[in-house]
Amino acid sequence: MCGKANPEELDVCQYCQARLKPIWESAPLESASDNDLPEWLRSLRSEPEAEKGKEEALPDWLSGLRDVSDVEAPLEADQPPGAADEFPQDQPDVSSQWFGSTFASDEEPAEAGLGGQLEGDLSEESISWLSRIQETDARSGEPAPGSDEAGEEASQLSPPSFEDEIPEWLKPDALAEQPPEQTDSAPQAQTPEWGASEEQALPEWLKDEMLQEPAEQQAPPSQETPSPEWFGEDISPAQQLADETEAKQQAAQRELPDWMTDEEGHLPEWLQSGIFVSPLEQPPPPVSSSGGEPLPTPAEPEESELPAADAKLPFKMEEGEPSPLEWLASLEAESEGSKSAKDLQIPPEIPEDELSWLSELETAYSDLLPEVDIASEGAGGLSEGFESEGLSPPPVEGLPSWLSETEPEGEEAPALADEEESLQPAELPSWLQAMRPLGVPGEPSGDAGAAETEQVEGAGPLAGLRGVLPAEPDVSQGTKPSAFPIRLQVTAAQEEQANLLRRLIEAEAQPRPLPQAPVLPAQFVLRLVMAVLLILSVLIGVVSGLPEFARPAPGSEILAVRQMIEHLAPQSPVLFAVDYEPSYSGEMDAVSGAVLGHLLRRNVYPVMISTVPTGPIQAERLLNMAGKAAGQSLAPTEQYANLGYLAGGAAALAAFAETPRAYFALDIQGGQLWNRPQLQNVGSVGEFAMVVVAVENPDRARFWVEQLSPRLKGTPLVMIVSAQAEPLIRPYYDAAPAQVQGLVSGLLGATAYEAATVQNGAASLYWTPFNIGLLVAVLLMFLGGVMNLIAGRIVRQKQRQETKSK
Amino acid sequence: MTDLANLSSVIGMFVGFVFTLLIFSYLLGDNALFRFATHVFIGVSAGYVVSMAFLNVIWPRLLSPVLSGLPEERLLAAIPLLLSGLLLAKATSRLNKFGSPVMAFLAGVGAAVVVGGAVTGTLFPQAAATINLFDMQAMQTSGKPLGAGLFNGTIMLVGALVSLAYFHFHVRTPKPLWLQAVSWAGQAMIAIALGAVFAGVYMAALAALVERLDALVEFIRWFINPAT
Repeated sequence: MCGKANPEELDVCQYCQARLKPIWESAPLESASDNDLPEWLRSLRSEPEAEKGKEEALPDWLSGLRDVSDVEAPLEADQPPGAADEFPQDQPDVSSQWFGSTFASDEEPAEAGLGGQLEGDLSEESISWLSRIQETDARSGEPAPGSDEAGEEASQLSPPSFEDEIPEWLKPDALAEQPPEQTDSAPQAQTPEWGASEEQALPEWLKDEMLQEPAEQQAPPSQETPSPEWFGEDISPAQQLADETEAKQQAAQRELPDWMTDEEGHLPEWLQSGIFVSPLEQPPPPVSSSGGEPLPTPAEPEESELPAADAKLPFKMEEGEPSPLEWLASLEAESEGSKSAKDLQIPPEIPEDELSWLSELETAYSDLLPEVDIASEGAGGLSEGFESEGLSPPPVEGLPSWLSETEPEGEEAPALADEEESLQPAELPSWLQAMRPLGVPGEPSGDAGAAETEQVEGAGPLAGLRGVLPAEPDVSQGTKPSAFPIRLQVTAAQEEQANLLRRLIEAEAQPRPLPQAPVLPAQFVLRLVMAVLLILSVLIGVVSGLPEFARPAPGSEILAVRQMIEHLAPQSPVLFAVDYEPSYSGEMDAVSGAVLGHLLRRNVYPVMISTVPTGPIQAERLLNMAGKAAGQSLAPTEQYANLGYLAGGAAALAAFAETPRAYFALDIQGGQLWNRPQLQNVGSVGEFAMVVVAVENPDRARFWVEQLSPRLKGTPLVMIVSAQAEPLIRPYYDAAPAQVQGLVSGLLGATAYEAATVQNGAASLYWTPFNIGLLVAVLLMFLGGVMNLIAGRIVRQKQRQETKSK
Repeated sequence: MTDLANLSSVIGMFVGFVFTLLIFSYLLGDNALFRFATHVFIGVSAGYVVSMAFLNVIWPRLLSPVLSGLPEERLLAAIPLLLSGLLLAKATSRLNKFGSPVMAFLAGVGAAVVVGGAVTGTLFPQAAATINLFDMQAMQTSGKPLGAGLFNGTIMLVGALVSLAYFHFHVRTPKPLWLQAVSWAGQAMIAIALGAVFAGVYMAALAALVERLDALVEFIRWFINPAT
C-alpha cells in the first residue's frame, strides 16, 4: 500500500505491514497449481503426499490400488522398456496425453530413458503428483518389472480389497490389466468377490446403471458364471433384465445433478456411453506396465466423488461425434484382441474443441502461473533431455496440455478465443465456478463487466488480480453537464418592466451636474437686508435717542410691585433671585435693574441668590449697575449679601424655602450670613420681607412660584420676567388669590416701572431704540406678508396660465 | 483701585465690543469669527460653572465639613461623599450599576418635588383661579367692573376649555362636528398664546440687540472721547 520495495520473499510489507501477496496466491506453488487444477486432478496429486505421511488416511481403494500395483508389478516385467514409444507423440494438444505419459512412465520405470528423464524433471519442478504417480508405479514395478513372479503372486492373490470402492468403469480396467494368462483363471475366483463388494459400495444409480447394461455387455458381479460379465459378452445374463434396468436408469437420471443432465433431463450421450457403460463395454483403462495396476485416471475418484469427477469433463458431445472415451473402448478392444498390456495403444486424443474448458481455465490463470511455470519448465527440461539424446521431445509428456501450454502460442490464441466464444457460459458447471479462486471474477456479464475483468490491479496487495473493483467509482468520473438555457422565459410586460428598471438604475448611475448655487441667495440677501434695516434703525435710536417715545403707563402688576417695595422697611431682608442666563442679561439687567434700583433706594438689604451657576456673578454685576444707577457704592457685607449658587433645582428650592440657614452658611465672599443684623430673624423664606425673582425661563419661574408660594407665609412674591415668559407667568398674577403679587415683564414693564418710580434707568434709555426696532419689525413683517401674498398670487396666476395653455 | 476698575471696565468694554462684532458676523453666514466667539463663550461659561460648583457646592458642603468640620458634620458629610463617589461610577460601564441607586434617588426626589409642586402650586391654584373669575363678591371687592370681570372671566374660561378640548384625541370615528368646532377654537387660543410668546421672545431679543448696540455705541463714544 505504501508503494515501497520489499524483498521478494516477504509476504507482508515491512513498512506498512500490508500483505504483498494475495492469500490465494501465497500458498506453495504446488498448492497454487493444485488450486488451478480440477478437483479430480488435485485428488490425484495429493495421493502421493498422503502416501508419504499417513497411508492409513488414504482411501481404501487407493490403498488397494497400490497393493494391486505392488502385486501386479511383476507382470509388467514382460513389457519392453521402449513401450513408451508406442504412445502417440505427434499430438501435442491432446489433453489426455497425461494418460499416455502415465502409461509411459508406468511402462517404463526408472531405467527407461524417457521415463527417467521425465520423472526427474517433474520431481524437480514440483510436479510431484505426476512423479509420485510414477514413483508409485515404479515402486510397484521396481522389484521385478516384468518378472513372472509377480504375475504368479498376482494370480495367487485374492481380489484386492480396494476394488470395493473402485468405480464400475474401472473394473474392466483391472480386468484389462491382468495378463492374458490370468484372465482365464483369475476371474472365476476373483470377480464374484470383489465385484460384489464393489457393487455394495457403488451408489444406487450406478448399480442400477450396471444392471441396465445389455445382457451381452453386462455381467452381474454376483452371478456365479464361469466368467464375469466383463470377460465376455456371451456370458452376461443381464440382457434379460434390459427392460427393467432401463427403467431404473431413468430413475437414476432423476437423481443425477442438473449439471449432468441436458435440458431434457437426460444424461449426455458421452456420459451414457462413458460412465454408464457396462464393464465390458467400457474401454479398458490404461494398464500400467508393472502389472496392470489401474492408472489414476481422472475418472478414478471415489464413488462419492463420481459426479464431481464426471463434471470435470463438462464438454458435450454432439451426435455423431466420436466419444472422447472411445480410446478407452479401443484399448479394451485391443486388450481383448491382444490380451496383453504391451499391445495397448494410446487411444485417439480427445478433440481440442471438447477440452476448451481446460483452455479457458488455462487462459484465465495464465497470468498467475508464470512464476510457477511448471509445464514450461518441465517441458523445457524434457526438451533438453530429449535433445541431449537426439530425440524429438514430446510436446507434453505426462502433463495435460493445458499445463504444458501455460503460455499459449500465438497461433493457438485465436483458435482458443474462437473456442471460448463458441462456449456458452451457462454451461459451466457450478462446481467449476466454485473452484475459481477468490478475486477472480466469473463470466463477464456485459461490457462493464468485461472492462472490469480486463482491468488488472497494478499495485497494492491486490496487484495482479483482475476484476478488482476500482478505487475510484465511475460516479466520480466527471461528465460534461448538460446545457440548460439561461435565457429567462418572461412575458412582454415583464420585459418592459425590467427595461424600465434598468433605465432607472442607469439614470441613477449617470452623474448629473449639481445646480450652481447663486453667489448671493435670495434668502441670504433678504436676511441681510432685514438685519441691516433693524440694526440701522436701532442704531439711529441709540445714537440719536430720537424720536422720543412716551414711556408706557404702569399696569396694576407694576403698581403692586412699586407699592410693596414702598412699604418695605429699611434694611429689611429682601431675597432677590438672579435666575437668568447671561444671554438674556441685555433685557433682564434692564428690567431687574429698575426694581433693584428701587429697592436700593429704599435701603433694603438685598440677599442675592441664584439657581443658575452664572447667577452669582450676574447678581454682582446687577448690583453694580443698580448701585451706579442709584448713586450708591454697595459694600458686599453691609449693604447686600450674595448667597451664591443654589444647586439642586426645584428640590433645592424647596429645601431652601424650608431652611435657608441650613442650606447656606456663608455668602459668596465667605462671610457669615445669619449673624448679620438684617438676617438674624430669617429662619425661612417666609421671614424675608419680600422675594423678588428675576427669571427669563418660564419653567424656572414656575418652579419658584410652585415651591415658594406655599411657604411664603404672606411674604409678597414679585416676578421680574423676560417678555418671552410673561404669557406663562401672568396667570399666577391674575389668579385669585394671586400666587404672584407683582409682575414686571420685559423692557416694556421695566420702562413702565421706571416711569412709575420716577427714575431713568437703562430701560428708559433703551425705550426709544426698542420702539424703533419694534416698528421696523412690524413694518418688515407687514412688508413680508404683502410680498408673500403678491408672490403667491403671481405663482398661482402662472400655474393657471400653464394649465390653460395645456 | 479706581484706575484698575476703570481699566478692567475698559478691557471689558473692548472685549464686549469685539465679541459683539464677532457674533454679528453671523449675518454674513457661518464663519470662523462667529465660531471663535461661540467657542470662547462656551469655554468661559463651562470654566465658570466648574469653578462656581466647586466654590459654592463641593468645597463648602462636602470637602470642608469632612476636612475641618465637627464630628457630626463629618458624619453627615460622609453620606453625600459616599453617594457622590457612587455617582462617579456611572462614568464607567463596568461600575455603572453602583451609580444607579444614587441616580434613582435623585430622580425620585426630583420627580416627587416637581409633581408635588405642580399640583399644589399650579394645578389647583390655577383651577381655583379660573373658577373664581366668576366670583361676584371678589370682583366687587377688587373694585373691578363687574361686566368687564365677567367678560374677562368668560374668555378665560372658554379659552381654557377649548384649549383642553383641542387635545381630545378621537381615533375610531371622525370627530363630531361640535367637537371639531371646539377643537378649532382651542387651536385658535393656542395660536394666540404662542403668538404672544413669540412676541415676547422677539421683544426680549430686540431688547438684547438694543443693549448690545448701545454698548457698542458707548464704547465707540468712550473710544472717541474717553471723558464722556
